[in-house]
Amino acid sequence: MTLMPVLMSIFALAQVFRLLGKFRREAIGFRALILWSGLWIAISFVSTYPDSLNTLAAIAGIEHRLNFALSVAILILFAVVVELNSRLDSLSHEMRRTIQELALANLRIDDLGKNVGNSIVSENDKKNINK
Amino acid sequence: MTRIRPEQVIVTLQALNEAKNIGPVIQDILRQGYRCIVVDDGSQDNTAELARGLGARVVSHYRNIGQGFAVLTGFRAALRDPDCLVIIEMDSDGQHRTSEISLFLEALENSEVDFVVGSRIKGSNSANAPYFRRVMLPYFTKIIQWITRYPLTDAMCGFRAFRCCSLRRVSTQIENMLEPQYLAAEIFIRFAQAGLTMTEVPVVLEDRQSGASSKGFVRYGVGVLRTIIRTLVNTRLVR
Repeated sequence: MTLMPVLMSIFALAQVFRLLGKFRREAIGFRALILWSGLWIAISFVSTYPDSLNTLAAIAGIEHRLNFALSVAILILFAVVVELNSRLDSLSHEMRRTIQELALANLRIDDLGKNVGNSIVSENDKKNINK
Repeated sequence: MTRIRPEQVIVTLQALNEAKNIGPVIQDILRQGYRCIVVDDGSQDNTAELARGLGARVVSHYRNIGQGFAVLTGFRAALRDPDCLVIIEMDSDGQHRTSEISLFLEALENSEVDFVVGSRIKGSNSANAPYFRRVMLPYFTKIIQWITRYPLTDAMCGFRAFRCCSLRRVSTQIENMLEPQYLAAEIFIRFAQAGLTMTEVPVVLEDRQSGASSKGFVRYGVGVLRTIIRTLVNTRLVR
């Protein structure tokens, strides 16, 4: 066995432990844990048994395993970009709604302040009149 | 026919760095007896202070979140007022004539429609609108007209009037707008599905007094199309 598969396997294992730690701290969900752990385990497996890619490439109808690996990597990256984009959209929408709610809450506070101010003035006026 | 008194009308203006233009607009509105809410959408100049000083109520977004959201903020602020019967939405840059507010009120008084939309096609468009906008407008209008069956000639005009009672009926739809950035398209589709009725009145679009519009029209066009598709998917096809 060459050095590269060993290094890759150690690195992948470290990543899986890191993910488990994140999952325990509730920094990631169960879905993300399974997806990313699966990816790292697959990378580790492929680097240890590169010939396994030949079968998969043949099934996919791709001649060279390297092309197959690159295609899969591009697909995964594409899926990650789409997912991140969707999350960004959702976060941006939430942020805008929060800003809107805050503005309306401030308006309510302003109105309450004015009402309190008015009532104080009118009470003072009443006292002056009584004097 | 119900007579609408000026104090029962709230005019909402959305403003982003409009200190140079907004003053006369607010003064004209207040002079006619209407009430005015300015939604300051994260302006870096003194738009909010100026509007407050002139007697408008000001709702301030602490950062810019887009005109569509600002329109919805204006609606929500105005709808809290139990005395408000009609909400007018118009531009704060002086492109819409405040004297034409009465046309909208007449249309509401003389009919049972839920909202009235200004039409620059029926009126006139003296403003030097960018070529792309002039080209896009008829197509967007046709698409929205086809989806909603509203008798529209100008779907993108920002001069509109809404009965408060009708807006309250669709308050859930207002709060759950998918793409408030591109409100015009979504508002028609959602209101049509809620069974609200509308009519148009002719309006004139003037040139801006100063400054330039902050909208990029290619991005705007793509956004409007995306909004139409997303609203349709979420409201018609996926139930």
